Amino acid sequence: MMHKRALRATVLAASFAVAGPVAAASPEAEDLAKRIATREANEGRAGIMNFSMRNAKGRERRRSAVMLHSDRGTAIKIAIFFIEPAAIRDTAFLSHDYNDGPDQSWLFLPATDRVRRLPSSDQRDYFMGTDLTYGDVKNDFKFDLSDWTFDEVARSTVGEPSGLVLTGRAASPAAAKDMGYGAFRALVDPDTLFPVEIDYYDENGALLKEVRVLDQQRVGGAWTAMRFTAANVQTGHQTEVIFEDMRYAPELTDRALSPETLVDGPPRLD
Amino acid sequence: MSISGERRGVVARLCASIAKRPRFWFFGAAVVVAALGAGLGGVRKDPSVDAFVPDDHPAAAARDRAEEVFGLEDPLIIGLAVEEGGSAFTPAVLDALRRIETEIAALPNIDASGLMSVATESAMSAADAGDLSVDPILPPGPVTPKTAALAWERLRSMPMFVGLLASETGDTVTLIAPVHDPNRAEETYAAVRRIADNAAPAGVDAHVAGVAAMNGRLAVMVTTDTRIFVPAAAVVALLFLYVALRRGPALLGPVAVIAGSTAAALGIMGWLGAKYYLITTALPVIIMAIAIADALHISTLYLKERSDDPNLDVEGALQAALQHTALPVTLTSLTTVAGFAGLALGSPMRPISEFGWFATVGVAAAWALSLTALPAVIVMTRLEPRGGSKRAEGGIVDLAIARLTQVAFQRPKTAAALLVALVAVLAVFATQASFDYERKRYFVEDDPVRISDALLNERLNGLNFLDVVVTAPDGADLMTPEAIMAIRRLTEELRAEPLVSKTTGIDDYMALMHEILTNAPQGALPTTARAPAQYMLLYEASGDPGDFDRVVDYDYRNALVRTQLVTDRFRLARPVVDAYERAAEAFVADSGFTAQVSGRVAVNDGWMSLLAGSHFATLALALALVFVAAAASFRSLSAAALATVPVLTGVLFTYAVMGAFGVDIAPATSMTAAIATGLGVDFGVHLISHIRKSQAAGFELGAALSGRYAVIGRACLYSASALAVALCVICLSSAPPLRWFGALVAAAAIGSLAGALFILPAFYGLFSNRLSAVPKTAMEIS
Repeated sequence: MMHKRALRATVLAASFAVAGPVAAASPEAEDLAKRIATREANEGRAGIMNFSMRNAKGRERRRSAVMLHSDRGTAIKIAIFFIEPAAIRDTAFLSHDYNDGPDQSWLFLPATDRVRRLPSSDQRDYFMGTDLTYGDVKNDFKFDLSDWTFDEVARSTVGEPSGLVLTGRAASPAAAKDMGYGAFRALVDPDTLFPVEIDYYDENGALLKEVRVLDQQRVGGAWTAMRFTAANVQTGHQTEVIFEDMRYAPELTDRALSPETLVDGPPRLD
Repeated sequence: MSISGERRGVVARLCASIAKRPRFWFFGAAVVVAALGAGLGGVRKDPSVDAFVPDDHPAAAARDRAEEVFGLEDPLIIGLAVEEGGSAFTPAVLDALRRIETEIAALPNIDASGLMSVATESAMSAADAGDLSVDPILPPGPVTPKTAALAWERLRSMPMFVGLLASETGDTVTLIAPVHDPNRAEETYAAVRRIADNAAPAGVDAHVAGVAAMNGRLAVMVTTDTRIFVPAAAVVALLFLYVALRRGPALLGPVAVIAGSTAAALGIMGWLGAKYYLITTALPVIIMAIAIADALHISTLYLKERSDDPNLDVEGALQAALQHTALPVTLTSLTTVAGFAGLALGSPMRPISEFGWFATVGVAAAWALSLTALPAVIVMTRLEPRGGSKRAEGGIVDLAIARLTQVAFQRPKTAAALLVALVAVLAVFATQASFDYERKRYFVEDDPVRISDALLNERLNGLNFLDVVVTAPDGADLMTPEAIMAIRRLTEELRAEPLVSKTTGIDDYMALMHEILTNAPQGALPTTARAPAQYMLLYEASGDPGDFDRVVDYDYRNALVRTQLVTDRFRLARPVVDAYERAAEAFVADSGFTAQVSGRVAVNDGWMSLLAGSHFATLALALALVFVAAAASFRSLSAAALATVPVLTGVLFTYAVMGAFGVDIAPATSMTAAIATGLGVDFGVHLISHIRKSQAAGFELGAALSGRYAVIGRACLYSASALAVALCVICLSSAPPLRWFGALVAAAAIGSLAGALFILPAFYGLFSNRLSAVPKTAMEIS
């Protein structure tokens, strides 16, 4: 297993390093990436998010929160209202990621009774101490067509779950720098167009992170990852996210996802 | 048949067999030595200073835990320093710092994820309307005068980094580089030094210090100098041996004994999987000394027999020499083994204990080879004495020894007065010797690592870490106002201790965040119940959560209160460590958390305290075992007491040299006194054996102290001198630990020799009535 992974990493790293931005994109791969990018999304969803983070020494942080997610085309808005542990209960995080215009985020700290604006984050910055970047959260298991050049699509090899293997590399050094990724290799479920395994490589071609979707379910017509892991192989840090009671919530209003209402806690949803 | 008769029979049969089949005995011995020596390949090197502290020692355990949790123990510290009064916050210096960081991150022993500098750390500041902003101290991208100035401004806003990542005046910037194994950093130090030197811009000095750098440099220095000076010492010892025996072929046997016994001892180390520690470097020298003594006595007596009786053939002279020396050589081997066994049994430090055990192996091998391979070589080479008069064998040396002996014997009161005066003077110096340790003293003043250590310690006001690890009980964490306040009180208490130049803890970060978020006065801590945890979450969302890894662990159960001391000197830091222990105990009682003193200074204090607590007990045990072995060998308490006289003078000389030259009693030097017991007893045993044998043969005491006594004395003189001169060669090393070792063991050899040649006859003179009695048992006189 390790041998195969190492071989794959080497081949990918070599192709990334040698081919660089001059290699031609594959039309089939572009087509698959487009279909993934346009995969059906729901306007709103809500659920309980349990996430545990573990560092290389095996020490763990566990958190639970109510998560609201809204995608209305022009912006993705995410609110996280922490429930556990008790010390951070009622603390709330909100982010607005606009298609055009700077992203914004806020945090409500009950201890200071104030909503605070957070410094703007880069795509490559890690989200709330997890192994997901702000870019990962925003892209929701899709690959931004403007950031990537898609190289190849093929059937998965023996020993892997069946699916389509899509590979890509950053469209430019600037894109690589923004994302924090130089290349990826994803195993895509052809039925749901959901990448169930993604290996990200850093700007030097070294394997950086492994994302594994362990459970996907349809929520309001859109396939959604209900359980997944992200492991940074360079630092040994890993994150597991499990959603419970996830439901389709088209009624999520902009007001429910505004900094002014963070102090009120999660809205009641019918 | 009496026991002595049996022994004479054994020696005679051994001699006859060797005379008949010398090749069998020589090559047989060579095969055994080769088999044992084959283990050499299995010897594992462990040049770490920390090998002296047992793994289960509380200070070592606390250090290991702190290393595991916080990961910043014993790092390399790279400094870029401009002239005093200047600023290191310039594009050229900060660019160089970045380059160094990038390059050393690729080195195998460097923990790249733990690198710490103004280029890796972030600063907190207040953004609009009291929001928290977290920015890299040195902004990414090319360094410009503007970003360099911004970096200086941001650094100063983070007091916890001032005095660690840069000096207070800004004339020095540092890069703290944790290493995976600070005790095996030889190559890492060399590579980092090279990278730093290459990267440093003109007018900027690159410095590499820190415990890992000093450990690496010390290991390289000792290993390099050992390769040069130990063989050089062996060559000088052989030259001395040549002077003693006066012919080249006579060296072949002793060389075989020296090489064989050393190979056997080191080979057995390999077979048993033992480690080769820094002090093991001394083992070949000690075994060489013992092998020389054994071989020299037999060779000297053999040549004397041949010289005295020209009609005696090789076999006959060998028979006579072995009849005279086999028992003393055996007895000295037994007493030396006793001395080293005392060292091995008494020392709680593994490297010293193993040194003792493997020295006993070397002693046993030297004994066996002296009685087998050496006679075989003598027979095979048909060793002839030097031509000329009878006096040529001993010459003026024998005469001088004879006169000295007679003067001491016949004027015992004068000798005693001289002895008392000498002991008094030596005792004055000896009392100046003290238990102490300071890492920098292990390097000469112009050594690069010592220069770097001095400069960085001066500019950063002390880089010697003494820490307290605070741990919350199960099910709780430290992110409460009460816990943070308790840590603050502990920190303030530690800061009040002398030598402490700086303290850093989670309370500092919490106070800064509280100030930024609530406009609280500087240094104030949050009091709202859940504020600390929420501040940490805010930081996670604003910056790199890993920024706190060095002060609080991932699940907030352990926090590190790190303090910097201006010195790591044991004698000065001892009271501070004690005060920290007391403060930690008070903290535990007050807060309900646990607290453990840790850090490099605590580890050093741990093993030095261990040494101070066991040193004299180890020495006493070695002396006691030597006495018991001598008493059992001679079956006489008075003879055993006499045999310990040279031992005591050797030990006294050792401490006197320590006191006179300011050599600390530390792990590297502490065992020299115990080594002195093993080496010093030989001379007394040889001389006392001869005296008692002569008495048993009917000679008066005065006569027993003359004639062949001088020949035995000459062998002692040459063997002690060979050792002393050889060790003086080692004193030429640039590595102070090797110098100290050479000087101290040479002093022990000279002291023991003086005790044997001068004080021993004086004691016989003083107590002639009691000591004139003829030994009662045949065994004693064999």
